[in-house]
Amino acid sequence: MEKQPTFFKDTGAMGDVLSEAQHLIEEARKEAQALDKSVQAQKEAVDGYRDQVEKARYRQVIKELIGESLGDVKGAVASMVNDWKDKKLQMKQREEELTMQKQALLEREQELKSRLDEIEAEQRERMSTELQNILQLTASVKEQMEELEKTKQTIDDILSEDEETLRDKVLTMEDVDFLRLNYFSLLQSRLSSQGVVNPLTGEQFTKNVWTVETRKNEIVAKITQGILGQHVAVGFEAKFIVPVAEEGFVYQKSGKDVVDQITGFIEAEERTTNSFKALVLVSPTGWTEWVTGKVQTILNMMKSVYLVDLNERALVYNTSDKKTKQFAEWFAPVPIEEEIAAMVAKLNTEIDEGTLQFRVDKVGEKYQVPRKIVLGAFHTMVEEGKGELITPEEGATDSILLVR
Amino acid sequence: MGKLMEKLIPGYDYRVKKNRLNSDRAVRDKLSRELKKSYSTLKEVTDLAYKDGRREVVEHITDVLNTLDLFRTEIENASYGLSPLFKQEKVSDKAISKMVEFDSALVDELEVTTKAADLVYDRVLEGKTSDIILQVRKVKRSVDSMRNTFTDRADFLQKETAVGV
Repeated sequence: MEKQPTFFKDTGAMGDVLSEAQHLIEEARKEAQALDKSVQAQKEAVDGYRDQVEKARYRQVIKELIGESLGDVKGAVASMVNDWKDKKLQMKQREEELTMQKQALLEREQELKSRLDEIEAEQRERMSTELQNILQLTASVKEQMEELEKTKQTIDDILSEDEETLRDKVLTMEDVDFLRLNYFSLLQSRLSSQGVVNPLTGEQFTKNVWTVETRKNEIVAKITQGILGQHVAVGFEAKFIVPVAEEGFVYQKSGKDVVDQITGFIEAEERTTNSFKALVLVSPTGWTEWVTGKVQTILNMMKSVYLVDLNERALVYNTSDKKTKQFAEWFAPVPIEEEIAAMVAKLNTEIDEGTLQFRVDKVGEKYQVPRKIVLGAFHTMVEEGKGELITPEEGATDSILLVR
Repeated sequence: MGKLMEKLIPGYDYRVKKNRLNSDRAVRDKLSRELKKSYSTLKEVTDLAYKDGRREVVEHITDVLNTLDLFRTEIENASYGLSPLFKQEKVSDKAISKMVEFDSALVDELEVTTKAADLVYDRVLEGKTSDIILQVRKVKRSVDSMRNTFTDRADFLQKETAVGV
Protein backbone atom coordinates (compact mmCIF):
# COMPACT_ATOMS: atom_id res chain seq x y z
CA MET A 1 0.00 0.00 0.00
CA GLU A 2 1.30 3.46 -0.97
CA LYS A 3 2.33 5.67 1.95
CA GLN A 4 -0.01 8.66 2.52
CA PRO A 5 1.79 12.04 2.60
CA THR A 6 1.74 13.87 5.92
CA PHE A 7 2.26 17.35 4.52
CA PHE A 8 2.33 17.32 0.75
CA LYS A 9 -1.31 16.44 0.33
CA ASP A 10 -1.86 18.79 -2.64
CA THR A 11 -5.26 19.87 -1.27
CA GLY A 12 -4.92 23.18 -3.10
CA ALA A 13 -2.51 25.67 -4.60
CA MET A 14 -0.18 27.88 -2.59
CA GLY A 15 -0.96 30.86 -4.79
CA ASP A 16 1.59 33.45 -5.81
CA VAL A 17 3.66 33.61 -2.61
CA LEU A 18 5.88 36.46 -3.86
CA SER A 19 2.93 38.75 -4.65
CA GLU A 20 1.31 37.87 -1.34
CA ALA A 21 4.54 38.56 0.51
CA GLN A 22 4.89 41.90 -1.27
CA HIS A 23 1.32 42.81 -0.33
CA LEU A 24 1.79 41.82 3.33
CA ILE A 25 4.98 43.89 3.61
CA GLU A 26 3.37 46.92 2.02
CA GLU A 27 0.43 46.62 4.41
CA ALA A 28 2.74 46.40 7.43
CA ARG A 29 4.71 49.46 6.24
CA LYS A 30 1.54 51.43 5.62
CA GLU A 31 0.32 50.61 9.11
CA ALA A 32 3.60 51.76 10.68
CA GLN A 33 3.57 54.95 8.57
CA ALA A 34 -0.02 55.71 9.53
CA LEU A 35 0.83 55.35 13.21
CA ASP A 36 3.86 57.63 12.82
CA LYS A 37 1.87 60.20 10.87
CA SER A 38 -0.96 60.26 13.35
CA VAL A 39 1.33 60.82 16.32
CA GLN A 40 3.37 63.40 14.40
CA ALA A 41 0.21 65.33 13.47
CA GLN A 42 -0.95 65.20 17.08
CA LYS A 43 2.43 66.46 18.25
CA GLU A 44 2.51 69.30 15.72
CA ALA A 45 -1.02 70.36 16.68
CA VAL A 46 -0.13 70.41 20.36
CA ASP A 47 3.15 72.25 19.71
CA GLY A 48 1.32 74.88 17.66
CA TYR A 49 -1.26 75.17 20.38
CA ARG A 50 1.45 75.60 23.01
CA ASP A 51 2.90 78.55 21.04
CA GLN A 52 -0.55 80.13 20.80
CA VAL A 53 -1.22 79.73 24.51
CA GLU A 54 2.19 81.11 25.40
CA LYS A 55 1.72 84.11 23.13
CA ALA A 56 -1.73 84.88 24.53
CA ARG A 57 -0.60 84.65 28.15
CA TYR A 58 2.39 86.91 27.56
CA ARG A 59 0.26 89.35 25.56
CA GLN A 60 -2.02 89.57 28.59
CA VAL A 61 0.92 90.48 30.83
CA ILE A 62 2.32 92.99 28.32
CA LYS A 63 -1.07 94.69 27.98
CA GLU A 64 -1.21 94.99 31.74
CA LEU A 65 2.28 96.42 31.85
CA ILE A 66 1.47 99.12 29.29
CA GLY A 67 -1.91 99.74 30.93
CA GLU A 68 -4.14 98.86 27.96
CA SER A 69 -7.65 97.48 28.22
CA LEU A 70 -7.53 93.77 28.94
CA GLY A 71 -11.05 92.79 27.92
CA ASP A 72 -10.20 91.18 24.56
CA VAL A 73 -7.04 89.43 25.71
CA LYS A 74 -8.66 88.03 28.84
CA GLY A 75 -11.52 86.71 26.74
CA ALA A 76 -9.07 85.11 24.33
CA VAL A 77 -7.14 83.46 27.16
CA ALA A 78 -10.37 82.19 28.75
CA SER A 79 -11.53 80.69 25.47
CA MET A 80 -8.12 79.11 24.98
CA VAL A 81 -8.32 77.50 28.39
CA ASN A 82 -11.67 76.00 27.39
CA ASP A 83 -10.28 74.85 24.02
CA TRP A 84 -7.38 73.27 25.83
CA LYS A 85 -9.75 71.35 28.09
CA ASP A 86 -11.48 69.92 24.97
CA LYS A 87 -8.16 69.13 23.36
CA LYS A 88 -6.97 67.39 26.49
CA LEU A 89 -10.06 65.22 26.40
CA GLN A 90 -9.28 64.26 22.78
CA MET A 91 -5.69 63.51 23.75
CA LYS A 92 -6.87 61.37 26.61
CA GLN A 93 -8.89 59.29 24.16
CA ARG A 94 -5.83 58.98 21.91
CA GLU A 95 -3.77 57.96 24.92
CA GLU A 96 -6.34 55.29 25.76
CA GLU A 97 -6.07 53.98 22.19
CA LEU A 98 -2.28 53.91 22.49
CA THR A 99 -2.54 52.16 25.86
CA MET A 100 -4.78 49.50 24.31
CA GLN A 101 -2.34 49.13 21.43
CA LYS A 102 0.49 48.79 23.93
CA GLN A 103 -1.48 46.20 25.90
CA ALA A 104 -2.13 44.16 22.74
CA LEU A 105 1.57 44.31 21.92
CA LEU A 106 2.49 43.21 25.43
CA GLU A 107 0.09 40.25 25.21
CA ARG A 108 1.62 39.24 21.87
CA GLU A 109 5.05 39.61 23.46
CA GLN A 110 4.07 37.30 26.31
CA GLU A 111 2.57 34.77 23.92
CA LEU A 112 5.72 34.73 21.80
CA LYS A 113 7.92 34.40 24.86
CA SER A 114 5.99 31.40 26.12
CA ARG A 115 5.97 29.76 22.68
CA LEU A 116 9.71 30.28 22.32
CA ASP A 117 10.35 27.65 24.99
CA GLU A 118 8.21 25.08 23.24
CA ILE A 119 9.41 25.24 19.65
CA GLU A 120 12.39 23.74 17.94
CA ALA A 121 15.71 25.52 17.61
CA GLU A 122 15.32 26.27 13.87
CA GLN A 123 12.05 28.08 14.42
CA ARG A 124 13.34 29.87 17.49
CA GLU A 125 15.34 32.34 15.46
CA ARG A 126 12.33 33.40 13.39
CA MET A 127 10.28 33.86 16.55
CA SER A 128 13.04 35.88 18.18
CA THR A 129 13.05 38.34 15.30
CA GLU A 130 9.30 38.74 15.50
CA LEU A 131 9.63 39.28 19.23
CA GLN A 132 12.31 41.88 18.60
CA ASN A 133 10.00 43.74 16.21
CA ILE A 134 7.19 43.66 18.77
CA LEU A 135 9.56 44.96 21.46
CA GLN A 136 10.58 47.82 19.17
CA LEU A 137 6.95 48.71 18.49
CA THR A 138 6.16 48.65 22.22
CA ALA A 139 9.09 50.97 22.90
CA SER A 140 7.99 53.31 20.11
CA VAL A 141 4.40 53.50 21.44
CA LYS A 142 5.75 54.15 24.95
CA GLU A 143 8.03 56.90 23.67
CA GLN A 144 5.16 58.56 21.79
CA MET A 145 2.99 58.48 24.91
CA GLU A 146 5.73 60.07 26.98
CA GLU A 147 6.22 62.78 24.36
CA LEU A 148 2.51 63.65 24.39
CA GLU A 149 2.49 63.71 28.18
CA LYS A 150 5.47 66.07 28.26
CA THR A 151 3.90 68.57 25.83
CA LYS A 152 0.62 68.41 27.72
CA GLN A 153 2.46 69.20 30.93
CA THR A 154 4.19 72.19 29.32
CA ILE A 155 0.85 73.67 28.26
CA ASP A 156 -0.64 73.03 31.69
CA ASP A 157 2.38 74.75 33.23
CA ILE A 158 1.98 77.81 31.00
CA LEU A 159 -1.70 78.07 31.83
CA SER A 160 -1.15 77.66 35.54
CA GLU A 161 1.77 80.08 35.84
CA ASP A 162 0.77 83.08 37.88
CA GLU A 163 1.07 86.56 36.46
CA GLU A 164 4.03 87.56 38.62
CA THR A 165 6.06 84.63 37.29
CA LEU A 166 5.17 85.54 33.71
CA ARG A 167 5.92 89.18 34.43
CA ASP A 168 9.41 88.16 35.54
CA LYS A 169 9.96 86.56 32.16
CA VAL A 170 8.80 89.60 30.19
CA LEU A 171 11.73 91.96 29.67
CA THR A 172 11.65 95.60 28.67
CA MET A 173 14.21 96.77 26.13
CA GLU A 174 15.98 98.51 29.03
CA ASP A 175 16.21 95.16 30.87
CA VAL A 176 17.70 93.66 27.72
CA ASP A 177 20.28 96.47 27.49
CA PHE A 178 21.24 96.01 31.16
CA LEU A 179 21.68 92.29 30.65
CA ARG A 180 23.84 92.88 27.59
CA LEU A 181 26.00 95.50 29.29
CA ASN A 182 26.45 93.35 32.40
CA TYR A 183 27.36 90.22 30.46
CA PHE A 184 29.72 91.98 28.08
CA SER A 185 31.50 93.76 30.94
CA LEU A 186 31.85 90.37 32.69
CA LEU A 187 33.47 88.96 29.51
CA GLN A 188 35.74 91.97 29.16
CA SER A 189 36.88 91.69 32.77
CA ARG A 190 37.69 88.00 32.22
CA LEU A 191 39.63 88.83 29.04
CA SER A 192 41.64 91.54 30.77
CA SER A 193 42.54 89.33 33.72
CA GLN A 194 43.30 85.93 32.20
CA GLY A 195 45.77 84.44 29.78
CA VAL A 196 44.76 81.48 27.64
CA VAL A 197 46.12 78.17 26.35
CA ASN A 198 45.39 77.09 22.78
CA PRO A 199 43.85 73.62 23.30
CA LEU A 200 45.05 72.47 19.87
CA THR A 201 48.74 73.32 20.27
CA GLY A 202 49.17 73.72 24.03
CA GLU A 203 50.70 77.14 23.41
CA GLN A 204 50.26 79.67 26.24
CA PHE A 205 49.34 83.32 25.76
CA THR A 206 49.30 86.11 28.35
CA LYS A 207 46.33 88.39 29.00
CA ASN A 208 48.13 91.28 27.24
CA VAL A 209 48.01 89.78 23.75
CA TRP A 210 44.23 89.79 23.33
CA THR A 211 42.81 92.12 20.67
CA VAL A 212 39.25 92.97 21.65
CA GLU A 213 36.72 94.65 19.36
CA THR A 214 33.41 95.65 20.90
CA ARG A 215 30.33 96.51 18.89
CA LYS A 216 26.77 97.03 20.12
CA ASN A 217 25.70 93.39 20.14
CA GLU A 218 29.02 91.70 19.66
CA ILE A 219 32.45 91.20 21.21
CA VAL A 220 35.25 89.69 19.16
CA ALA A 221 38.41 88.78 21.05
CA LYS A 222 41.37 87.19 19.31
CA ILE A 223 45.02 86.37 19.57
CA THR A 224 46.81 86.47 16.22
CA GLN A 225 50.12 84.95 15.19
CA GLY A 226 52.50 85.14 12.25
CA ILE A 227 54.07 88.11 10.55
CA LEU A 228 53.25 87.29 6.96
CA GLY A 229 49.92 85.54 6.55
CA GLN A 230 48.64 86.20 10.04
CA HIS A 231 46.22 83.70 11.52
CA VAL A 232 44.08 83.55 14.63
CA ALA A 233 45.51 81.24 17.31
CA VAL A 234 42.57 81.67 19.70
CA GLY A 235 39.38 83.55 18.90
CA PHE A 236 36.15 84.19 20.83
CA GLU A 237 33.08 85.64 19.17
CA ALA A 238 30.23 86.58 21.54
CA LYS A 239 26.97 87.68 19.96
CA PHE A 240 23.95 89.04 21.79
CA ILE A 241 20.70 87.83 20.25
CA VAL A 242 17.66 90.00 20.85
CA PRO A 243 14.30 88.29 20.21
CA VAL A 244 11.54 90.09 18.29
CA ALA A 245 9.93 92.69 20.53
CA GLU A 246 6.22 93.02 21.04
CA GLU A 247 5.05 96.49 22.11
CA GLY A 248 8.57 97.13 23.43
CA PHE A 249 8.81 93.87 25.41
CA VAL A 250 10.58 90.59 24.72
CA TYR A 251 9.81 87.13 26.10
CA GLN A 252 10.23 84.59 23.27
CA LYS A 253 13.11 82.17 23.52
CA SER A 254 15.60 82.18 20.68
CA GLY A 255 16.02 79.03 18.64
CA LYS A 256 15.95 78.26 14.94
CA ASP A 257 16.83 81.88 14.08
CA VAL A 258 20.48 81.26 15.06
CA VAL A 259 20.96 78.10 12.98
CA ASP A 260 22.60 80.02 10.10
CA GLN A 261 25.06 81.68 12.47
CA ILE A 262 26.04 78.35 14.01
CA THR A 263 26.41 76.50 10.71
CA GLY A 264 28.25 79.47 9.15
CA PHE A 265 30.70 79.42 12.06
CA ILE A 266 31.26 75.65 11.97
CA GLU A 267 31.59 75.41 8.21
CA ALA A 268 33.90 78.43 7.75
CA GLU A 269 37.28 77.34 6.39
CA GLU A 270 40.29 78.16 8.57
CA ARG A 271 43.77 79.12 7.35
CA THR A 272 45.51 76.64 9.65
CA THR A 273 44.53 73.59 11.66
CA ASN A 274 45.96 75.20 14.82
CA SER A 275 43.30 77.84 15.15
CA PHE A 276 40.82 77.40 18.03
CA LYS A 277 37.60 79.40 17.85
CA ALA A 278 34.55 79.68 20.08
CA LEU A 279 31.15 81.08 19.19
CA VAL A 280 29.11 82.32 22.16
CA LEU A 281 25.48 83.19 21.51
CA VAL A 282 23.82 85.09 24.34
CA SER A 283 20.06 85.34 24.79
CA PRO A 284 18.31 87.44 27.43
CA THR A 285 15.20 85.22 27.29
CA GLY A 286 16.77 81.78 26.96
CA TRP A 287 16.90 79.11 24.26
CA THR A 288 14.38 76.62 22.91
CA GLU A 289 14.91 72.94 23.70
CA TRP A 290 15.39 72.30 20.01
CA VAL A 291 18.51 74.47 19.69
CA THR A 292 20.02 73.45 23.06
CA GLY A 293 19.65 69.82 21.99
CA LYS A 294 21.53 70.54 18.74
CA VAL A 295 24.34 72.52 20.40
CA GLN A 296 24.89 69.80 23.01
CA THR A 297 25.90 67.42 20.22
CA ILE A 298 28.18 69.69 18.16
CA LEU A 299 31.59 68.12 17.90
CA ASN A 300 34.33 69.87 15.93
CA MET A 301 38.09 69.48 16.28
CA MET A 302 38.84 73.21 16.15
CA LYS A 303 35.62 74.92 17.20
CA SER A 304 33.26 75.13 20.16
CA VAL A 305 29.78 76.59 20.42
CA TYR A 306 28.13 77.89 23.60
CA LEU A 307 24.64 79.18 24.32
CA VAL A 308 24.28 81.57 27.24
CA ASP A 309 20.83 81.82 28.79
CA LEU A 310 20.74 85.03 30.81
CA ASN A 311 17.18 84.33 31.97
CA GLU A 312 18.15 81.14 33.82
CA ARG A 313 21.85 82.07 34.09
CA ALA A 314 22.73 78.84 32.33
CA LEU A 315 25.44 77.84 29.87
CA VAL A 316 24.71 75.13 27.30
CA TYR A 317 27.46 73.32 25.37
CA ASN A 318 28.64 69.84 24.43
CA THR A 319 29.80 68.60 27.85
CA SER A 320 31.32 65.46 26.37
CA ASP A 321 33.81 67.49 24.31
CA LYS A 322 36.90 68.03 26.46
CA LYS A 323 38.14 71.29 24.95
CA THR A 324 34.62 72.81 24.93
CA LYS A 325 34.20 71.89 28.59
CA GLN A 326 37.62 73.32 29.42
CA PHE A 327 36.65 76.76 28.02
CA ALA A 328 33.16 76.87 29.55
CA GLU A 329 34.26 78.91 32.57
CA TRP A 330 35.19 81.78 30.22
CA PHE A 331 31.56 82.25 29.20
CA ALA A 332 29.50 81.12 32.21
CA PRO A 333 27.19 83.92 33.41
CA VAL A 334 27.23 85.00 37.05
CA PRO A 335 24.78 82.78 38.99
CA ILE A 336 21.51 84.50 39.84
CA GLU A 337 22.06 83.93 43.58
CA GLU A 338 25.31 85.94 43.41
CA GLU A 339 23.61 88.79 41.57
CA ILE A 340 20.76 88.82 44.09
CA ALA A 341 23.24 88.81 46.99
CA ALA A 342 25.09 91.76 45.42
CA MET A 343 21.79 93.61 45.01
CA VAL A 344 20.84 92.91 48.64
CA ALA A 345 24.19 94.36 49.73
CA LYS A 346 23.58 97.55 47.71
CA LEU A 347 20.07 97.94 49.17
CA ASN A 348 21.42 97.39 52.69
CA THR A 349 23.93 100.20 52.13
CA GLU A 350 21.08 102.47 51.05
CA ILE A 351 19.07 101.47 54.15
CA ASP A 352 22.06 102.38 56.31
CA GLU A 353 22.08 105.74 54.61
CA GLY A 354 18.43 106.26 55.52
CA THR A 355 16.30 105.03 52.55
CA LEU A 356 13.09 103.39 53.80
CA GLN A 357 11.31 102.31 50.66
CA PHE A 358 12.31 100.89 47.27
CA ARG A 359 10.29 100.42 44.08
CA VAL A 360 11.25 97.62 41.65
CA ASP A 361 11.37 99.69 38.46
CA LYS A 362 13.29 102.57 40.09
CA VAL A 363 15.89 100.26 41.65
CA GLY A 364 16.30 98.38 38.35
CA GLU A 365 16.90 101.62 36.49
CA LYS A 366 19.33 102.96 39.10
CA TYR A 367 21.53 99.88 39.27
CA GLN A 368 20.96 98.73 35.69
CA VAL A 369 19.70 95.28 36.60
CA PRO A 370 16.57 93.41 35.42
CA ARG A 371 13.48 93.42 37.65
CA LYS A 372 13.91 89.69 38.27
CA ILE A 373 17.09 90.43 40.28
CA VAL A 374 15.52 93.35 42.16
CA LEU A 375 12.45 91.27 43.02
CA GLY A 376 14.72 88.41 44.11
CA ALA A 377 16.56 90.82 46.42
CA PHE A 378 13.23 92.15 47.80
CA HIS A 379 12.03 88.59 48.55
CA THR A 380 15.34 87.72 50.23
CA MET A 381 15.08 90.81 52.42
CA VAL A 382 11.46 90.02 53.31
CA GLU A 383 12.53 86.49 54.31
CA GLU A 384 15.29 87.99 56.45
CA GLY A 385 12.65 90.11 58.20
CA LYS A 386 14.06 93.41 56.95
CA GLY A 387 10.92 94.65 55.31
CA GLU A 388 7.49 94.07 53.83
CA LEU A 389 6.50 93.72 50.18
CA ILE A 390 3.54 95.56 48.68
CA THR A 391 2.52 94.19 45.29
CA PRO A 392 0.56 95.92 42.47
CA GLU A 393 -2.42 93.68 43.38
CA GLU A 394 -2.45 95.49 46.71
CA GLY A 395 -2.64 98.87 45.00
CA ALA A 396 1.03 99.79 44.43
CA THR A 397 2.16 101.16 41.03
CA ASP A 398 4.87 98.50 41.05
CA SER A 399 6.16 96.12 43.78
CA ILE A 400 7.51 98.14 46.72
CA LEU A 401 9.76 97.08 49.59
CA LEU A 402 8.95 98.92 52.82
CA VAL A 403 11.82 98.78 55.28
CA ARG A 404 10.90 97.95 58.87
CA MET B 1 13.99 56.41 0.76
CA GLY B 2 17.01 57.21 2.97
CA LYS B 3 14.75 57.78 5.98
CA LEU B 4 13.13 54.38 5.55
CA MET B 5 16.57 52.80 5.41
CA GLU B 6 17.61 54.62 8.60
CA LYS B 7 14.54 53.12 10.27
CA LEU B 8 15.25 49.63 9.02
CA ILE B 9 19.00 49.73 9.64
CA PRO B 10 20.13 51.69 12.74
CA GLY B 11 23.09 54.00 12.06
CA TYR B 12 22.57 53.95 8.27
CA ASP B 13 24.19 57.09 6.79
CA TYR B 14 26.51 57.51 3.79
CA ARG B 15 26.80 61.29 4.10
CA VAL B 16 29.72 61.30 6.53
CA LYS B 17 32.91 59.43 5.62
CA LYS B 18 33.35 57.74 9.00
CA ASN B 19 29.84 56.23 8.84
CA ARG B 20 30.05 54.88 5.29
CA LEU B 21 32.00 51.70 5.95
CA ASN B 22 29.75 50.88 8.91
CA SER B 23 26.61 51.56 6.86
CA ASP B 24 27.81 49.18 4.15
CA ARG B 25 28.65 46.57 6.81
CA ALA B 26 25.22 47.01 8.42
CA VAL B 27 23.46 46.51 5.06
CA ARG B 28 25.51 43.38 4.33
CA ASP B 29 24.89 42.02 7.85
CA LYS B 30 21.17 42.53 7.41
CA LEU B 31 21.21 40.80 4.03
CA SER B 32 23.19 37.89 5.41
CA ARG B 33 20.98 37.47 8.50
CA GLU B 34 17.74 37.58 6.53
CA LEU B 35 19.03 35.16 3.90
CA LYS B 36 20.00 32.78 6.67
CA LYS B 37 16.42 32.94 7.91
CA SER B 38 15.04 32.07 4.47
CA TYR B 39 17.61 29.30 4.25
CA SER B 40 16.49 27.76 7.57
CA THR B 41 12.81 28.02 6.62
CA LEU B 42 13.26 26.37 3.23
CA LYS B 43 15.57 23.75 4.74
CA GLU B 44 12.70 22.71 7.00
CA VAL B 45 10.41 22.45 3.96
CA THR B 46 12.94 20.10 2.28
CA ASP B 47 13.00 17.94 5.43
CA LEU B 48 9.21 17.63 5.27
CA ALA B 49 9.33 16.93 1.51
CA TYR B 50 11.95 14.28 2.10
CA LYS B 51 9.80 12.61 4.78
CA ASP B 52 6.86 12.58 2.35
CA GLY B 53 9.03 11.16 -0.42
CA ARG B 54 8.71 14.23 -2.67
CA ARG B 55 12.17 13.93 -4.19
CA GLU B 56 11.48 16.44 -7.02
CA VAL B 57 10.48 19.08 -4.45
CA VAL B 58 13.66 18.39 -2.48
CA GLU B 59 15.73 18.88 -5.64
CA HIS B 60 14.14 22.22 -6.53
CA ILE B 61 14.44 23.57 -3.01
CA THR B 62 18.03 22.36 -2.75
CA ASP B 63 18.69 24.44 -5.85
CA VAL B 64 17.38 27.54 -4.02
CA LEU B 65 19.32 26.61 -0.87
CA ASN B 66 22.57 26.40 -2.86
CA THR B 67 21.91 29.80 -4.41
CA LEU B 68 21.15 31.30 -0.98
CA ASP B 69 24.34 29.80 0.42
CA LEU B 70 26.44 31.09 -2.45
CA PHE B 71 24.90 34.54 -2.17
CA ARG B 72 25.63 34.70 1.57
CA THR B 73 29.24 33.78 0.94
CA GLU B 74 29.50 36.54 -1.69
CA ILE B 75 27.99 39.07 0.70
CA GLU B 76 30.19 38.13 3.63
CA ASN B 77 33.40 38.00 1.62
CA ALA B 78 32.80 41.12 -0.45
CA SER B 79 35.71 43.42 0.28
CA TYR B 80 35.89 46.88 -1.14
CA GLY B 81 37.48 48.91 1.61
CA LEU B 82 39.55 50.57 -1.10
CA SER B 83 36.45 51.90 -2.83
CA PRO B 84 36.57 55.70 -3.31
CA LEU B 85 33.33 55.89 -1.32
CA PHE B 86 35.14 54.82 1.82
CA LYS B 87 38.43 56.57 1.14
CA GLN B 88 37.40 60.03 0.06
CA GLU B 89 36.12 62.71 2.44
CA LYS B 90 33.60 64.18 0.01
CA VAL B 91 31.44 62.12 -2.33
CA SER B 92 28.85 63.57 -4.71
CA ASP B 93 25.19 63.58 -3.68
CA LYS B 94 24.47 61.60 -6.85
CA ALA B 95 26.77 58.77 -5.75
CA ILE B 96 25.21 58.69 -2.27
CA SER B 97 21.69 58.64 -3.76
CA LYS B 98 22.68 55.76 -6.02
CA MET B 99 24.01 53.75 -3.03
CA VAL B 100 20.80 54.39 -1.09
CA GLU B 101 18.85 53.31 -4.17
CA PHE B 102 20.80 50.02 -4.40
CA ASP B 103 20.42 49.32 -0.68
CA SER B 104 16.71 50.08 -0.69
CA ALA B 105 16.16 47.79 -3.65
CA LEU B 106 18.11 45.01 -1.92
CA VAL B 107 16.27 45.41 1.39
CA ASP B 108 12.89 45.49 -0.40
CA GLU B 109 13.65 42.32 -2.36
CA LEU B 110 15.06 40.71 0.75
CA GLU B 111 11.95 41.35 2.83
CA VAL B 112 9.74 39.95 0.10
CA THR B 113 11.89 36.82 -0.28
CA THR B 114 11.97 36.17 3.48
CA LYS B 115 8.21 36.57 3.73
CA ALA B 116 7.65 34.39 0.64
CA ALA B 117 9.77 31.61 2.16
CA ASP B 118 7.65 31.84 5.32
CA LEU B 119 4.47 31.62 3.24
CA VAL B 120 5.75 28.50 1.43
CA TYR B 121 6.33 26.85 4.80
CA ASP B 122 2.89 27.92 6.11
CA ARG B 123 1.13 26.60 3.00
CA VAL B 124 2.95 23.25 3.30
CA LEU B 125 1.65 22.94 6.86
CA GLU B 126 -1.84 23.66 5.49
CA GLY B 127 -1.43 20.95 2.82
CA LYS B 128 -1.69 23.46 -0.06
CA THR B 129 1.20 22.15 -2.10
CA SER B 130 -0.04 21.48 -5.62
CA ASP B 131 1.98 24.37 -7.16
CA ILE B 132 4.97 24.25 -4.79
CA ILE B 133 7.58 23.75 -7.50
CA LEU B 134 6.36 26.79 -9.43
CA GLN B 135 6.42 28.92 -6.26
CA VAL B 136 9.86 27.68 -5.22
CA ARG B 137 11.18 28.57 -8.70
CA LYS B 138 9.72 32.05 -8.23
CA VAL B 139 11.55 32.41 -4.91
CA LYS B 140 14.72 31.26 -6.67
CA ARG B 141 14.22 33.92 -9.35
CA SER B 142 13.78 36.54 -6.64
CA VAL B 143 17.08 35.48 -5.01
CA ASP B 144 18.82 35.59 -8.41
CA SER B 145 17.49 39.10 -8.99
CA MET B 146 18.87 40.14 -5.58
CA ARG B 147 22.26 38.70 -6.47
CA ASN B 148 22.27 40.74 -9.67
CA THR B 149 21.45 43.91 -7.76
CA PHE B 150 24.21 43.12 -5.29
CA THR B 151 26.72 42.61 -8.11
CA ASP B 152 25.69 45.93 -9.72
CA ARG B 153 26.14 47.59 -6.32
CA ALA B 154 29.62 46.10 -5.95
CA ASP B 155 30.57 47.30 -9.46
CA PHE B 156 29.27 50.75 -8.65
CA LEU B 157 31.29 50.87 -5.45
CA GLN B 158 34.48 49.95 -7.27
CA LYS B 159 34.14 52.20 -10.29
CA GLU B 160 31.31 54.68 -10.39
CA THR B 161 31.89 56.50 -7.10
CA ALA B 162 35.36 57.46 -8.32
CA VAL B 163 33.84 59.12 -11.38
CA GLY B 164 30.92 60.59 -9.45
CA VAL B 165 33.10 62.65 -7.07
